[in-house]
Amino acid sequence: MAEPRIRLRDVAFAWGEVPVLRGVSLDVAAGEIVGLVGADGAGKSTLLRIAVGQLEPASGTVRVLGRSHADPSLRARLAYMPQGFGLYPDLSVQENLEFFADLHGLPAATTAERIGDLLARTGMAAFRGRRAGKLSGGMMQKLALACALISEPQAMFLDEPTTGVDPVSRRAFWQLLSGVRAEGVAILYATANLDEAERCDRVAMLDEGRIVREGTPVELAQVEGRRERVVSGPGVREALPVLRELPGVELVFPRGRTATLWVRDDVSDGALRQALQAIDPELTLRERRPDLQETILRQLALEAARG
Amino acid sequence: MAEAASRPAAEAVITATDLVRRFGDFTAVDHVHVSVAPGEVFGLLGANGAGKTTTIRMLCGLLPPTAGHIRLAEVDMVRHPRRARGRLGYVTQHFALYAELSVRENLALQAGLYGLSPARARERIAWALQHLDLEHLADHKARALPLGHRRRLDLAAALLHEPHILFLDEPTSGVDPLARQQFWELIYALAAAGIAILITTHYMDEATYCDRLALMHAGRIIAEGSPDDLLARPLPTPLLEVRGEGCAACSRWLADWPEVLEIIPHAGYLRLRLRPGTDPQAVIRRLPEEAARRGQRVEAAEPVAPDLEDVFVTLLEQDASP
Repeated sequence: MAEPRIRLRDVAFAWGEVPVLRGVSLDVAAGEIVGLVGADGAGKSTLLRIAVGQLEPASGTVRVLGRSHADPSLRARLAYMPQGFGLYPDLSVQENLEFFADLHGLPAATTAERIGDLLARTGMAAFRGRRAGKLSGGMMQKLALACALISEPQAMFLDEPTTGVDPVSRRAFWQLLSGVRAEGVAILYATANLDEAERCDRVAMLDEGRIVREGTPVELAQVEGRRERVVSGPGVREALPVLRELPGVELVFPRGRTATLWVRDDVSDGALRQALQAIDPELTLRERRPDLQETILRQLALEAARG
Repeated sequence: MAEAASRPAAEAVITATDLVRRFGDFTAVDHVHVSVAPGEVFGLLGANGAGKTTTIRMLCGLLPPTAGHIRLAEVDMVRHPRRARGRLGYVTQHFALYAELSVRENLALQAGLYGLSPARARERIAWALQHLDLEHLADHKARALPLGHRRRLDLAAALLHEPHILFLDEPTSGVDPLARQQFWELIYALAAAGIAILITTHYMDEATYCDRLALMHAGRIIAEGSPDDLLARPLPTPLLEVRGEGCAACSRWLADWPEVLEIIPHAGYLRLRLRPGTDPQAVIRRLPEEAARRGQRVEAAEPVAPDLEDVFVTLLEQDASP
């Protein structure tokens, strides 16, 4: 099998004495989006900066497109969108794209063609003369993605690109990104928006510099020995403290007029129902398909409680 | 009791009727009604520029409405803005306190601005530090706090004068998932204490946590109800989930089908939003053989219920088209 487009092996990094990454190994194949989730400070941004050659790992290896990440010839073939990616607010949409084309040393004819193509794909052709600073948040992110795509990269590293972007624009952003994936680009995507994890092909959960779980969204949504149950009823908010104390219940998340429970398998639904009846006869228990967002959140909460 | 969540109670503490705000020729808020009961968590949603923040700024008395009435906890905002403002707490989109002051110093400064007596200020600051889990950080400079804790400090400051009403404008934007979860536990605790909460968010999971939602577009509220009410709305655009090994490749030719309005790619499956009036079963029947003809495989295709994002996107689309 061909080497994955992005390959990290035992990558470790520390800021002075403070370890940030403690041996991370991760692959991203062509045409794959791998989501990187975790709390702030888990090491997501550091990992991306190492992968694009901005930081040198203390140990471990990073190979991108089959070369060492420090290889300067890689620059033109990968794209990196850091948080708060710097567009030039005083330049127009078109000028921003030209600027990034210039950075990559694209010839003028290629530049014109690619800009035309990217403006069409992002639906921004009508805005080419608008100053970037005057764009809405969603359009700005689309422009940032277009700038990142100008060099036709084969590997992309995106750091929370949809923060603060409204749901409609976010959907458009993912449409674009899926098109890029379909062209075979390998994408490493850090996100704090857990519903985006479900759109990734694989997800890696980073906690205190380690990957604690990795797999497809469906695999990750299930955890052996635990199951998710939903409690509903008008009095559910008042019952939260009692629910948290029930035997076998490890975590309770309030969700509107329901609560999701994380229950150990050694406690049956029958026993749980009985316990609920004793608290409030109007409380009901039901099953639902394992939910990836909730599972990730639970694991983050449990890791935090342990740490 | 089940309907209570979907309808504002009669004794609403936030009541805005026929709220209008114009900036020159531009109508930012166009005859908006808002009503929130004590203990209710009300979510105001919409794309950037829909008018959410302008609405909140009027409700907080920071921006006079062009027309309309606002009553907060029985006080008329237009006639008695100072008194009305005493009943509300406001957390803005961006950290609004002093980065170079410590957590405690920031709270002391805010307590002074609210006009609390020194004894009362001490008491309330102690309460806020304890209930917002900031005690261990009381002497840290605000700038050194992680974003999630900074937002909690904003919330602490907004609660010092014991408001009946809390306005939260994207309080969790950019906050990490676990800190967002903890922030919501605080919101529920405040609601359980009887505070009426109006919140804006771009996170769809948070939208489902609200008791009631209003969706804004172009300055107007175009839909309102509990998350379940909104999810139960019949949509004109049927949704299909298509599964199969490598079915992502199907999106190339599916995009050319006139019945397909939008393809929403997920890992391992596609969601198709079909044009109004399309028979989903006809599409389902055609899919496997069309895929097979191209050497691809569709293993399953079935109608699915929309999620809140689907509902919003569809409602916004309907509203935008004449």
